[in-house]
Amino acid sequence: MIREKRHSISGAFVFLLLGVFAVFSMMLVLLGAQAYRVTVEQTAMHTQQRVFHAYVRNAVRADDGDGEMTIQTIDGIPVLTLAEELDGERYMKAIYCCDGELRELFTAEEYGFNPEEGERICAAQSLDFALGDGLLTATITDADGRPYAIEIARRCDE
Amino acid sequence: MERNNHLSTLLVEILIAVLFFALSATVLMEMFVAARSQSVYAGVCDEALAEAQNIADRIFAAGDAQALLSQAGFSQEDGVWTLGRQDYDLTVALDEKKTEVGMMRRAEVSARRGEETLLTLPCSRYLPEEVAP
Repeated sequence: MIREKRHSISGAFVFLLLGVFAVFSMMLVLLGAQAYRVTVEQTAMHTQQRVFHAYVRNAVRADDGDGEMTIQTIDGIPVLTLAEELDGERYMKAIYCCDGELRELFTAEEYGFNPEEGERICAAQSLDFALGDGLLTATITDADGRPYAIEIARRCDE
Repeated sequence: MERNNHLSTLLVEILIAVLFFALSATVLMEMFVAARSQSVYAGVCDEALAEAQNIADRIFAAGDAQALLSQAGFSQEDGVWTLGRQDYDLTVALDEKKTEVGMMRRAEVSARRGEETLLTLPCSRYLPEEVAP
């Protein structure tokens, strides 16, 4: 009788051990999935931030030498235009935000500005520009609503 | 007797399996923690770089760099301007060199995390002055 009771306790212990192991395994999977999700989200967010900074900075640095940088509002869209002359023809590079995307349009000035024709850079809700004290400030709001300020000294002022 | 042996074997087998999976879980947890740490570190570096670039450009554009840094919340100690952030510290060292034909203004913007220097951005601007012919 006693022996049978000991057997049943051993069996229960084995199943209890298995149950505990199953619970901890499930917790590990959930924790791992959570850690992975957070890591991927943060990586995507920082990649987005790097793209914004690198793109706007390099675009402005590459073309602000001629003193042809202007901020306009065309059809209600804030646009940064960087003009230059190539082979006697005037071209402009427009940087703006349209349909939830940061875009760039490089075109001859005579063709005008059509926001739908711009090259898509990355997702962004809005893009605003401000000029003052030799400093261009671009404020980009990403797809999740996080704002990023990019401040660029205007070399074309010199 | 035979049933007792069978049960003991099963128990040992399950214990070995649990031990193996526990070891695997430890390795996995270490990997997840390392991945998370690297992600946080990369994020801090990105934020520090973005802010350091902004500061460097603001210094370039400003007439009075010291007033700008003071306004931006930097505090000066031993000639170095420091701004504490949650995950890193920004430091700016200013230097001016006057020559006969102008002024060379230099600034070095650094981001530190504890003892580690995350990045250093040099920034310089030459301000020419009028020279008598």
